[in-house]
Amino acid sequence: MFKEAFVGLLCFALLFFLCYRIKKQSNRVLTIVIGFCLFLGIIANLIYNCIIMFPDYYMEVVSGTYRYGTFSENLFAYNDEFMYRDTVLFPILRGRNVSFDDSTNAAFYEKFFTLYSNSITPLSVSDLDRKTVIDHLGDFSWKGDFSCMKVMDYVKDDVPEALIEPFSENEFPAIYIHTDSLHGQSDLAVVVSADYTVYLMSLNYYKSITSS
Amino acid sequence: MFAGIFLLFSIIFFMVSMGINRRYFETLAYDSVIFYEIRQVLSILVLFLYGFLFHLLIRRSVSLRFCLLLALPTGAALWCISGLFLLMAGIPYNLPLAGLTQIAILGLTYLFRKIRMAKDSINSHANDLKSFFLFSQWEDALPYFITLLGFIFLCSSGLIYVFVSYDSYFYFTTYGNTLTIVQNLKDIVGDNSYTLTNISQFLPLLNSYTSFWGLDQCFQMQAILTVNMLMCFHSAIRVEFDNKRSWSILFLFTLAASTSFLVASTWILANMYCMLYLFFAFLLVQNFVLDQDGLPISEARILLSLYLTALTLLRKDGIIFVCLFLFYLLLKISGNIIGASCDIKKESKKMFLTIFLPSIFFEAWWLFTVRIVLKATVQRAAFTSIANNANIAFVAAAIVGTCIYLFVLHPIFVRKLPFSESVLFYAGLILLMILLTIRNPDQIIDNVDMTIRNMFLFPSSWGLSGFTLGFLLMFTLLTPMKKFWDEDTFLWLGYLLVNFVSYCAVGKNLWVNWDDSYNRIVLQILPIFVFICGRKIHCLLQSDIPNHSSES
Repeated sequence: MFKEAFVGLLCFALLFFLCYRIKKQSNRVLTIVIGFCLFLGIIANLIYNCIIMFPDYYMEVVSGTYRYGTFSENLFAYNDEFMYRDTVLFPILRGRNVSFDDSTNAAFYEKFFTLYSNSITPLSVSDLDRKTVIDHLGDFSWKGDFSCMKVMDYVKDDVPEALIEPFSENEFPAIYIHTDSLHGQSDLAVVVSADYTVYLMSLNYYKSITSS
Repeated sequence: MFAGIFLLFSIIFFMVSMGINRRYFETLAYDSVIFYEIRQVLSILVLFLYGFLFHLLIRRSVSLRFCLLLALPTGAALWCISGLFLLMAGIPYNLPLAGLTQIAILGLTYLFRKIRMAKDSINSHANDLKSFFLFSQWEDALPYFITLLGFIFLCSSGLIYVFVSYDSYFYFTTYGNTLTIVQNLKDIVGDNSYTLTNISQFLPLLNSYTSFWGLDQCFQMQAILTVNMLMCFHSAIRVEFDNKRSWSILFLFTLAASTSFLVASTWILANMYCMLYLFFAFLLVQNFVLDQDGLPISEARILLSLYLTALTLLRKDGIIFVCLFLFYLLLKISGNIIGASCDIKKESKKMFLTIFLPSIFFEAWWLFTVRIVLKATVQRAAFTSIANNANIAFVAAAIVGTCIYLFVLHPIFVRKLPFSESVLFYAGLILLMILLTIRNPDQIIDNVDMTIRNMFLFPSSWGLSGFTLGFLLMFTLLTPMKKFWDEDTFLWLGYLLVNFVSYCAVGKNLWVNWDDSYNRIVLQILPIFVFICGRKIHCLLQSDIPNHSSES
């Protein structure tokens, strides 16, 4: 590294000496040299940016899925290629009413859904309904980790005992979203299973698959 | 003409983007993509209008073109500073109250204007206001305004390039959104209140502004502010080059095309905003600050204090940037180039206090809120928390030290020193570096090594721009030494040195990656560096050099 730095400094000194000589000779030539160097620099940077940096350079080279850079789908602070994909919940919940599972396990998520949805109402989910939802898992096209519950300290009160150890090892409960049923729907249903997995769908879809 | 065509193209692009975005947008959100994108445009326009009204009320000599170009950053700064004021005062941070606060700010500014008009000559102020509507002013400003409008549409299309990391999501975007829901800081406090102790509040508050509009993020705001800065850069450098278009465009693209600038401006972090406010504060000092007595005009004082307060609230180390900038302003005002020192007058001392006080006030109030009122703590990153004793002591030392220097030591040094104060400053920093190297040589060598690697090692966030900027520096070195070592060089070189020394002094180890804190801090000074190089190169090309070739 220091060898390269030394050679770099040497080149810098040589170029400086050359420009100094040009300056002594003619200001006009110096003007052309500076203008040409700037122009060359711009072209070199543009080529570098187009070929190497854009569009997916960050994703592939710098720390992988921890961060992303993209030209598309920027209306939401969410991208499917990012490590923390559950941020998709924010645009989904905004302006929608949520019928929320009234089971004990679901209570852990209640503050989150209360904060980010339009309103929240309790939904009585029987064991049979819960099983029916889980049976339809194949229809839920979106699956990810519910990492917000670990990262955002202010969306939860107490962490259940069963989740303390997984959280400390950066393991998060799963969340499934039935995206096909969301279009144009103002009411959502949230069901939570015994292992703290969250199932989110439109209320209409929930009613259609359960006896409700 | 070209601006009009560009605006038309932007509007068409904006409308096409609605069709492109519709597919994924309406699958997820309970909203219309058309109204959502229009809200994106309106959120920028309203902030722009707010900033412009503020400029109109404080205006004395800044041209209409610059009033238009500075309107958006001014509006953003006013919103965020007043938002933090509400939160710290315990007033609910909701849309009606935040909106009323903005109206109150404009009302108070209008009142002060009235008082000032009564005090000073009434006619001159009235003429200032009238001159805004003169065609001659608009003739100059209109192309910039139309171009900016075009960019507002482009940036609101949802198809701009953004680079998002963990911090962008959780510490700025979602936290800003949460502030609009909980409307206070108490509900944010928990066992690990990282957002309060390790994150500065400016950017979350700007996100909260767009959240009030029902938007999910504020990417479009960062993009338009970047464009805004580039337009200001172009406008200012063009003046430097006596309106020569080719040189101003060359320098504009040297900045805008550089990988380092693109990284800094597209990454959703506070660095772009620091770069922006540093550059605008610099521009104010360059172009509009001094009146016939060599003192900043009241308009520039207000804007400077606003931008420096924004800098304070943007990063934990923002107060260091502010202190350094005040030194620069001191050198600029007292004409403190080598061998030409003079003491700052009583009036200047008052002026320095008025510029510095808002920054001190907000910094102290924020530390008090986090440490005493909220009692916010963190489980991890306790060392870097703004509320720990070492950090509070560091901030206090920076503030007190700057005040002592400005008001006590500076007059003494000016009288006693046979050389410039900037020499003293450089010497102090070099001495400090030597002491730190003696204390912990490995750390300092490693930090220097990491800094160089971050600039030149592939894959670097600098790309090839490290080399092109190196060329620029080399050309400026061709200027006579006295001209090179002026107060402008002090700004960028002092900035790099002060930040490096402060990192080493607190024992922070730099690392090889794009997100290395010092690497991002270096990126912030780029526009100022390129601008200063542009000015010096212009002086170099203008200088009257005997043509030896003709002699021979």
